Amino acid sequence: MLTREQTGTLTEIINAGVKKAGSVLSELVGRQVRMQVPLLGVTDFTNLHDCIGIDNNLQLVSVCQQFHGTMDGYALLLLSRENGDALTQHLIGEGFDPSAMDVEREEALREVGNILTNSVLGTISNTVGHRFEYQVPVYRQGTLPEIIGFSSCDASCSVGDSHTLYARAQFDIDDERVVGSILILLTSRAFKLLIEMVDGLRFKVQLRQQ
Amino acid sequence: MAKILLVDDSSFQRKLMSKMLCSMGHRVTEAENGRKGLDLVDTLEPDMIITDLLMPELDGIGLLRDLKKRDSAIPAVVVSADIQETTRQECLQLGARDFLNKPVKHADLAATVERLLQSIAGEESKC
Ligand SMILES: [Mg+2]
Repeated sequence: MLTREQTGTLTEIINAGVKKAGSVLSELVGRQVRMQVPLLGVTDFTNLHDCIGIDNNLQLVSVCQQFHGTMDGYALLLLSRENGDALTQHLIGEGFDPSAMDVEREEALREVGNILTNSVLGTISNTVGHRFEYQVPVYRQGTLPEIIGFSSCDASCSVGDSHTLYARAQFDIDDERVVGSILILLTSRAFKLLIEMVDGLRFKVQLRQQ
Repeated sequence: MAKILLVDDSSFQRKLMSKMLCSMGHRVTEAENGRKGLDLVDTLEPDMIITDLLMPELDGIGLLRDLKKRDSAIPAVVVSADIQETTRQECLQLGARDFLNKPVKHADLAATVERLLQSIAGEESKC
Protein backbone atom coordinates (compact mmCIF):
# COMPACT_ATOMS: atom_id res chain seq x y z
CA MET A 1 0.00 0.00 0.00
CA LEU A 2 1.02 3.60 -0.43
CA THR A 3 2.02 5.99 2.32
CA ARG A 4 0.50 9.46 2.34
CA GLU A 5 3.77 10.97 1.09
CA GLN A 6 4.02 8.45 -1.74
CA THR A 7 0.42 9.10 -2.78
CA GLY A 8 1.09 12.83 -2.66
CA THR A 9 4.21 12.66 -4.84
CA LEU A 10 2.63 10.24 -7.31
CA THR A 11 -0.50 12.37 -7.61
CA GLU A 12 1.67 15.43 -8.18
CA ILE A 13 3.64 13.73 -10.98
CA ILE A 14 0.55 12.27 -12.67
CA ASN A 15 -1.27 15.57 -12.28
CA ALA A 16 1.54 17.36 -14.13
CA GLY A 17 1.12 14.86 -16.96
CA VAL A 18 -2.65 15.24 -16.94
CA LYS A 19 -2.31 19.03 -17.13
CA LYS A 20 -0.03 18.62 -20.12
CA ALA A 21 -2.57 16.29 -21.75
CA GLY A 22 -5.24 18.92 -21.14
CA SER A 23 -3.31 21.71 -22.83
CA VAL A 24 -2.47 19.43 -25.77
CA LEU A 25 -6.13 18.43 -26.15
CA SER A 26 -7.17 22.06 -25.95
CA GLU A 27 -4.69 22.84 -28.74
CA LEU A 28 -6.09 19.99 -30.86
CA VAL A 29 -9.75 20.93 -30.58
CA GLY A 30 -9.34 24.69 -30.17
CA ARG A 31 -11.57 24.73 -27.07
CA GLN A 32 -11.06 25.06 -23.38
CA VAL A 33 -10.43 21.71 -21.70
CA ARG A 34 -10.84 21.12 -17.98
CA MET A 35 -8.85 18.31 -16.43
CA GLN A 36 -9.67 16.97 -12.99
CA VAL A 37 -7.03 16.10 -10.44
CA PRO A 38 -6.43 12.38 -10.97
CA LEU A 39 -7.83 9.77 -8.66
CA LEU A 40 -5.24 7.23 -7.58
CA GLY A 41 -5.88 3.76 -6.27
CA VAL A 42 -4.46 0.31 -5.78
CA THR A 43 -6.43 -2.81 -6.64
CA ASP A 44 -6.07 -5.95 -8.76
CA PHE A 45 -7.00 -6.41 -12.40
CA THR A 46 -10.04 -8.54 -11.53
CA ASN A 47 -11.70 -5.74 -9.56
CA LEU A 48 -10.37 -2.89 -11.59
CA HIS A 49 -13.51 -2.09 -13.57
CA ASP A 50 -15.47 -1.76 -10.31
CA CYS A 51 -13.04 0.82 -8.88
CA ILE A 52 -12.95 3.21 -11.78
CA GLY A 53 -16.43 4.60 -11.45
CA ILE A 54 -17.63 4.06 -15.02
CA ASP A 55 -20.91 2.19 -15.64
CA ASN A 56 -19.92 -1.38 -16.56
CA ASN A 57 -22.70 -1.59 -19.19
CA LEU A 58 -21.84 1.62 -21.01
CA GLN A 59 -20.56 1.19 -24.59
CA LEU A 60 -17.15 2.84 -24.78
CA VAL A 61 -14.50 3.63 -27.34
CA SER A 62 -10.91 3.33 -26.15
CA VAL A 63 -7.32 3.69 -27.20
CA CYS A 64 -4.83 1.47 -25.44
CA GLN A 65 -1.17 2.42 -25.25
CA GLN A 66 0.84 -0.51 -23.95
CA PHE A 67 4.33 -0.33 -22.59
CA HIS A 68 6.85 -3.04 -21.84
CA GLY A 69 10.37 -3.34 -20.55
CA THR A 70 11.26 -3.01 -16.90
CA MET A 71 7.80 -1.49 -16.37
CA ASP A 72 4.77 -3.23 -17.86
CA GLY A 73 1.29 -1.83 -18.10
CA TYR A 74 -0.89 0.29 -20.27
CA ALA A 75 -2.64 3.63 -20.51
CA LEU A 76 -6.19 4.03 -21.80
CA LEU A 77 -8.19 6.87 -23.23
CA LEU A 78 -11.87 6.09 -22.53
CA LEU A 79 -14.92 7.84 -23.93
CA SER A 80 -18.54 6.90 -24.27
CA ARG A 81 -19.46 6.16 -27.88
CA GLU A 82 -21.37 9.46 -28.13
CA ASN A 83 -18.50 11.43 -26.63
CA GLY A 84 -16.10 9.66 -29.00
CA ASP A 85 -18.22 10.91 -31.91
CA ALA A 86 -18.34 14.42 -30.45
CA LEU A 87 -14.56 14.50 -29.99
CA THR A 88 -14.04 13.21 -33.55
CA GLN A 89 -16.32 15.98 -34.80
CA HIS A 90 -14.12 18.52 -33.02
CA LEU A 91 -11.03 16.99 -34.62
CA ILE A 92 -12.27 16.44 -38.16
CA GLY A 93 -14.77 19.26 -38.44
CA GLU A 94 -18.33 19.48 -39.60
CA GLY A 95 -17.87 16.95 -42.42
CA PHE A 96 -17.90 14.04 -39.98
CA ASP A 97 -20.86 11.69 -40.30
CA PRO A 98 -20.86 9.32 -37.28
CA SER A 99 -22.85 6.60 -39.05
CA ALA A 100 -20.60 6.33 -42.11
CA MET A 101 -17.15 7.08 -40.81
CA ASP A 102 -16.08 4.31 -38.45
CA VAL A 103 -12.59 4.25 -39.93
CA GLU A 104 -12.22 8.00 -39.70
CA ARG A 105 -13.33 8.01 -36.06
CA GLU A 106 -10.96 5.16 -35.25
CA GLU A 107 -8.01 6.87 -36.92
CA ALA A 108 -8.65 10.25 -35.31
CA LEU A 109 -9.24 8.85 -31.82
CA ARG A 110 -6.27 6.49 -32.06
CA GLU A 111 -4.00 9.44 -32.76
CA VAL A 112 -5.53 11.63 -30.04
CA GLY A 113 -5.37 8.73 -27.58
CA ASN A 114 -1.74 8.26 -28.48
CA ILE A 115 -0.96 11.94 -27.91
CA LEU A 116 -2.88 12.18 -24.60
CA THR A 117 -1.55 8.98 -23.02
CA ASN A 118 1.97 9.94 -24.10
CA SER A 119 1.59 13.31 -22.38
CA VAL A 120 0.92 11.59 -19.06
CA LEU A 121 3.36 8.68 -19.42
CA GLY A 122 6.08 10.92 -20.86
CA THR A 123 5.79 13.29 -17.92
CA ILE A 124 6.18 10.36 -15.50
CA SER A 125 9.14 9.13 -17.54
CA ASN A 126 10.88 12.50 -17.61
CA THR A 127 10.30 13.01 -13.88
CA VAL A 128 11.41 9.65 -12.51
CA GLY A 129 13.96 8.93 -15.25
CA HIS A 130 12.44 5.71 -16.57
CA ARG A 131 11.99 5.00 -20.27
CA PHE A 132 8.68 3.43 -21.32
CA GLU A 133 8.94 1.14 -24.34
CA TYR A 134 5.69 1.78 -26.19
CA GLN A 135 3.73 -0.47 -28.55
CA VAL A 136 1.59 0.75 -31.44
CA PRO A 137 -1.67 2.05 -29.88
CA VAL A 138 -4.78 -0.07 -30.28
CA TYR A 139 -8.35 1.23 -30.76
CA ARG A 140 -11.13 -0.81 -29.19
CA GLN A 141 -14.89 -0.62 -28.59
CA GLY A 142 -16.86 -2.35 -25.85
CA THR A 143 -17.80 -2.15 -22.20
CA LEU A 144 -15.21 -1.29 -19.54
CA PRO A 145 -14.78 -4.91 -18.34
CA GLU A 146 -14.30 -6.03 -21.97
CA ILE A 147 -11.77 -3.31 -22.74
CA ILE A 148 -9.80 -3.93 -19.54
CA GLY A 149 -9.93 -7.69 -20.13
CA PHE A 150 -8.55 -7.43 -23.68
CA SER A 151 -6.03 -4.71 -22.89
CA SER A 152 -4.69 -6.54 -19.82
CA CYS A 153 -4.36 -9.73 -21.82
CA ASP A 154 -2.54 -7.95 -24.68
CA ALA A 155 -0.24 -6.17 -22.26
CA SER A 156 0.48 -9.49 -20.50
CA CYS A 157 -0.94 -8.12 -17.26
CA SER A 158 -2.06 -11.15 -15.31
CA VAL A 159 -5.67 -11.13 -14.16
CA GLY A 160 -4.55 -12.26 -10.73
CA ASP A 161 -1.93 -9.53 -10.52
CA SER A 162 -2.50 -7.87 -7.19
CA HIS A 163 -1.64 -4.35 -6.13
CA THR A 164 -2.09 -2.79 -9.49
CA LEU A 165 -1.82 0.96 -9.57
CA TYR A 166 -4.49 2.84 -11.41
CA ALA A 167 -4.90 6.54 -11.97
CA ARG A 168 -8.03 7.98 -13.51
CA ALA A 169 -8.24 11.54 -14.74
CA GLN A 170 -11.48 12.90 -16.09
CA PHE A 171 -11.63 15.75 -18.57
CA ASP A 172 -14.31 17.74 -20.28
CA ILE A 173 -14.27 19.95 -23.31
CA ASP A 174 -16.07 23.14 -22.51
CA ASP A 175 -19.39 23.87 -24.13
CA GLU A 176 -19.92 20.50 -25.83
CA ARG A 177 -19.43 18.72 -22.52
CA VAL A 178 -17.32 15.94 -24.00
CA VAL A 179 -16.34 13.85 -21.01
CA GLY A 180 -13.57 11.28 -21.08
CA SER A 181 -11.01 9.54 -18.89
CA ILE A 182 -7.36 8.72 -19.05
CA LEU A 183 -6.43 5.61 -17.13
CA ILE A 184 -2.97 4.33 -16.31
CA LEU A 185 -2.48 0.78 -15.12
CA LEU A 186 0.73 -0.78 -13.91
CA THR A 187 1.45 -4.38 -13.01
CA SER A 188 2.46 -4.98 -9.39
CA ARG A 189 6.12 -5.33 -10.39
CA ALA A 190 6.03 -2.06 -12.32
CA PHE A 191 4.14 -0.43 -9.46
CA LYS A 192 6.85 -1.45 -6.95
CA LEU A 193 9.54 -0.11 -9.26
CA LEU A 194 7.71 3.19 -9.72
CA ILE A 195 7.34 3.58 -5.95
CA GLU A 196 11.07 2.96 -5.52
CA MET A 197 11.75 5.66 -8.09
CA VAL A 198 9.29 8.05 -6.43
CA ASP A 199 10.93 7.41 -3.03
CA GLY A 200 14.33 8.06 -4.60
CA LEU A 201 13.02 11.29 -6.07
CA ARG A 202 11.64 12.43 -2.70
CA PHE A 203 14.94 11.56 -1.04
CA LYS A 204 16.83 13.68 -3.59
CA VAL A 205 14.45 16.62 -3.05
CA GLN A 206 14.88 16.32 0.74
CA LEU A 207 18.66 16.29 0.38
CA ARG A 208 18.52 19.38 -1.82
CA GLN A 209 16.34 21.18 0.74
CA GLN A 210 18.72 20.46 3.63
CA MET B 1 9.59 23.45 -53.51
CA ALA B 2 10.98 20.28 -51.98
CA LYS B 3 10.16 16.58 -52.34
CA ILE B 4 9.16 15.36 -48.90
CA LEU B 5 8.61 11.76 -47.88
CA LEU B 6 6.08 11.60 -45.03
CA VAL B 7 6.09 8.33 -43.05
CA ASP B 8 3.30 7.78 -40.50
CA ASP B 9 0.92 4.88 -39.87
CA SER B 10 -1.94 7.23 -38.96
CA SER B 11 -3.91 8.36 -42.00
CA PHE B 12 -5.37 11.11 -39.80
CA GLN B 13 -1.90 12.45 -39.06
CA ARG B 14 -0.70 12.04 -42.68
CA LYS B 15 -3.68 14.01 -43.92
CA LEU B 16 -3.03 16.78 -41.38
CA MET B 17 0.68 17.12 -42.10
CA SER B 18 0.36 16.65 -45.87
CA LYS B 19 -2.05 19.56 -45.92
CA MET B 20 0.42 21.74 -44.00
CA LEU B 21 3.38 20.77 -46.17
CA CYS B 22 1.44 21.22 -49.43
CA SER B 23 0.31 24.67 -48.29
CA MET B 24 4.02 25.51 -47.87
CA GLY B 25 4.46 24.60 -51.53
CA HIS B 26 6.14 21.21 -51.10
CA ARG B 27 5.40 17.94 -52.89
CA VAL B 28 4.50 15.18 -50.44
CA THR B 29 4.67 11.41 -50.89
CA GLU B 30 3.14 9.33 -48.10
CA ALA B 31 4.17 5.97 -46.66
CA GLU B 32 2.34 4.11 -43.89
CA ASN B 33 5.32 2.50 -42.18
CA GLY B 34 9.11 2.57 -42.09
CA ARG B 35 9.47 -0.38 -44.47
CA LYS B 36 7.37 1.28 -47.18
CA GLY B 37 9.19 4.53 -46.48
CA LEU B 38 12.59 2.92 -47.06
CA ASP B 39 11.34 1.35 -50.30
CA LEU B 40 10.44 4.83 -51.51
CA VAL B 41 13.75 6.43 -50.55
CA ASP B 42 15.61 4.97 -53.57
CA THR B 43 12.94 5.55 -56.18
CA LEU B 44 11.74 8.94 -54.97
CA GLU B 45 15.08 10.45 -53.88
CA PRO B 46 13.33 12.84 -51.48
CA ASP B 47 14.92 16.06 -50.24
CA MET B 48 13.71 15.33 -46.74
CA ILE B 49 12.04 12.59 -44.68
CA ILE B 50 9.51 13.30 -41.95
CA THR B 51 8.81 10.24 -39.85
CA ASP B 52 6.64 9.07 -36.99
CA LEU B 53 8.12 6.65 -34.43
CA LEU B 54 5.47 4.09 -33.44
CA MET B 55 4.54 2.16 -36.58
CA PRO B 56 3.97 -1.48 -37.49
CA GLU B 57 6.42 -3.41 -39.72
CA LEU B 58 9.33 -1.01 -39.22
CA ASP B 59 9.20 1.84 -36.70
CA GLY B 60 10.84 5.24 -36.92
CA ILE B 61 13.90 4.16 -34.93
CA GLY B 62 14.40 1.29 -37.41
CA LEU B 63 14.06 3.71 -40.30
CA LEU B 64 16.65 6.09 -38.80
CA ARG B 65 19.00 3.16 -38.14
CA ASP B 66 18.73 2.01 -41.73
CA LEU B 67 19.34 5.50 -43.10
CA LYS B 68 22.41 5.80 -40.87
CA LYS B 69 23.70 2.40 -42.05
CA ARG B 70 23.33 3.55 -45.65
CA ASP B 71 25.17 6.78 -44.85
CA SER B 72 22.19 8.61 -46.25
CA ALA B 73 22.54 12.36 -46.57
CA ILE B 74 18.77 12.91 -46.68
CA PRO B 75 17.80 14.90 -43.58
CA ALA B 76 15.20 13.18 -41.41
CA VAL B 77 12.87 14.86 -38.93
CA VAL B 78 10.94 12.91 -36.30
CA VAL B 79 7.37 13.96 -35.49
CA SER B 80 6.09 11.87 -32.59
CA ALA B 81 3.66 11.88 -29.68
CA ASP B 82 6.46 10.48 -27.50
CA ILE B 83 7.62 13.29 -25.21
CA GLN B 84 10.26 11.23 -23.38
CA GLU B 85 13.58 13.05 -23.31
CA THR B 86 15.42 9.71 -23.73
CA THR B 87 13.52 9.01 -26.96
CA ARG B 88 14.41 12.43 -28.34
CA GLN B 89 18.09 11.88 -27.50
CA GLU B 90 18.10 8.44 -29.14
CA CYS B 91 16.62 9.85 -32.35
CA LEU B 92 19.11 12.70 -32.49
CA GLN B 93 21.96 10.23 -31.88
CA LEU B 94 20.67 8.13 -34.77
CA GLY B 95 21.00 11.14 -37.03
CA ALA B 96 17.56 12.81 -36.89
CA ARG B 97 18.06 16.51 -37.61
CA ASP B 98 15.13 17.60 -35.47
CA PHE B 99 12.44 16.16 -33.20
CA LEU B 100 8.95 17.68 -33.01
CA ASN B 101 6.08 16.61 -30.80
CA LYS B 102 2.54 15.94 -31.95
CA PRO B 103 0.27 17.76 -32.34
CA VAL B 104 2.71 19.62 -34.56
CA LYS B 105 2.06 23.31 -35.13
CA HIS B 106 2.09 24.65 -38.69
CA ALA B 107 4.63 27.35 -37.78
CA ASP B 108 7.01 24.89 -36.09
CA LEU B 109 6.88 22.46 -39.00
CA ALA B 110 7.41 25.27 -41.51
CA ALA B 111 10.39 26.63 -39.55
CA THR B 112 12.03 23.20 -39.27
CA VAL B 113 11.52 22.33 -42.94
CA GLU B 114 12.78 25.74 -44.06
CA ARG B 115 15.85 25.57 -41.80
CA LEU B 116 16.77 22.11 -43.07
CA LEU B 117 16.27 22.99 -46.71
CA GLN B 118 18.52 26.01 -46.26
CA SER B 119 21.17 23.90 -44.54
CA ILE B 120 21.09 21.36 -47.41
CA ALA B 121 21.45 24.20 -49.92
CA GLY B 122 24.38 25.48 -47.86
CA GLU B 123 26.03 22.05 -47.74
CA GLU B 124 25.57 21.57 -51.50
CA SER B 125 27.09 24.95 -52.37
CA LYS B 126 30.16 24.03 -50.27
CA CYS B 127 30.80 20.91 -52.45
MG1 LIG C 1 2.21 6.01 -35.17
